[in-house]
Amino acid sequence: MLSISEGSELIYDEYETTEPMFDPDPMFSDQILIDLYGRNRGFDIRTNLTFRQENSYSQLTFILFAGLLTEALIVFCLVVMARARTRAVRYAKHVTAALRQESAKLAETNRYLSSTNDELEQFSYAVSHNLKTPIRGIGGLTEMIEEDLEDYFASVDANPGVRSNLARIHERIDRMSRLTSSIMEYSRIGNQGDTGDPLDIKEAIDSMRVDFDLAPEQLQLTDDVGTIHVDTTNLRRVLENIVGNAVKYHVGTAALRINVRALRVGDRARLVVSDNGPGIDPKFHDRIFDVFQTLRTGDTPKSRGIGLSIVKKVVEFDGGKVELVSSIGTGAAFGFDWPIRKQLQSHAQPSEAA
Amino acid sequence: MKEEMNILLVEDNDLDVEILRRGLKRLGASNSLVRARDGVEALEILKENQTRGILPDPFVILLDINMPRMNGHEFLVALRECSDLKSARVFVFKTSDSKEDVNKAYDNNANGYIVKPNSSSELNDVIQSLRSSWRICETPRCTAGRAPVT
Repeated sequence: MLSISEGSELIYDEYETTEPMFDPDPMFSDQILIDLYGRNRGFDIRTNLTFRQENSYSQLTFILFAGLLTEALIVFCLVVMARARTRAVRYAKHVTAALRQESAKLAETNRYLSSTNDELEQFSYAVSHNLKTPIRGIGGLTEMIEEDLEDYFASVDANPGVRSNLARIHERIDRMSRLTSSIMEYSRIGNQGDTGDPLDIKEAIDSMRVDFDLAPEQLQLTDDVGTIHVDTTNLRRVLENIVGNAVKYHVGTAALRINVRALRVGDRARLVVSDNGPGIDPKFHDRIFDVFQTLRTGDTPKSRGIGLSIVKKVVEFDGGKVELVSSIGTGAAFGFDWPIRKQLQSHAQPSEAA
Repeated sequence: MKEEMNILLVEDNDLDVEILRRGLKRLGASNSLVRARDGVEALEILKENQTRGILPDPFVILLDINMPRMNGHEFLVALRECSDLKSARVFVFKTSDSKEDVNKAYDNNANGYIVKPNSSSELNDVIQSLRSSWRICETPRCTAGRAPVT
């Protein structure tokens, strides 16, 4: 805003209180006297509201305030975070302690269960072993009776039921004897440690071909593993039981074909035994691995009802799993993994190994 | 013709003894069978035998393992430590074929380990195999220092 005066006479004046931009307290004002063309003119300059608006740095205050606030917030956050961390650490310690307690308890329970299990297995072994003597005794006595009755059997008025009942006693004795042997074998799995010489898969299959009286094309092998060095007594047992099962349960006119495949998968061998037998209904896939389960009815003399449970126990003892692919009419394929060589360190937990 | 195979049967189970006796009789064996109920009794018989012929030479010892007082393994150790008995031929007869028992028996210098037969036909096989091996094997020096009974 400007007003110009000459002497005391105001010749131009913008300084009106009615002016919308009038600033009663100008931020800047100056009065300059200038000698202009011989006349002394006074210029009175005052800033108006526009100037005030444009030059009042209220934003700065705001920025300062906002900055302070942010800083305060950051400090607050840091404090909160520090406290949260402390609490988290305390909580973690608490949880870890609880977990450690839990896992100690679990380990204790595990030890207890494992020792109970060992005791039970020893117990079944001992019971079965001790039953063997009386069972053999009954067998021997039955034979003595038969021997002593030779004359009676030869006579005309001999009751034929006596001889056939004695034969039935023998059958029962045989079964009892197989049962006790089975229990002994089953209960000892895992207690004998890693035993057996290196097993050449081809040789093992060749000898099974002889043992089960099979033609070369009936038991075939695809092998890219060669020799296995770990717990081969049990591996042989597993293979023999699966192959033996295929032989035992084969029915029908189709000539029996058993294929054994040994594939190298990392440091393990993947073994798959498949046959063209009658197949197993999926609803029985769990049950066939149970002890003393057989899907055949009646008194099958050859079946011990323990072969596949031995397979399962042996494979699972090593942490593996027996996989079965089969349905009625499609044959059966049993697959499992086996370590090829001994690991230098003991079996690491999968979570730790990852 | 070699001498018949005489037997010292060390066995606590009467029934097993009778089964073996019958088996031998069935096969027409004319040998002597002397029975001891455990290791202690067997050692007594063997020692007494040196002065008094209870058990005719040559003989084989058929040895059970689970017995009271002195079991088969202990008997084997004691026998092999006896200077004038250590060459006796001993076949262990046991119900189980557990590797521990088998290895332990051979470690103690058993001459053989036979799983007890389960039937008379199995027993016949065992007796006949023992007799034929008896026939083809030479007899060790006379254990008791006496002339073999012929």
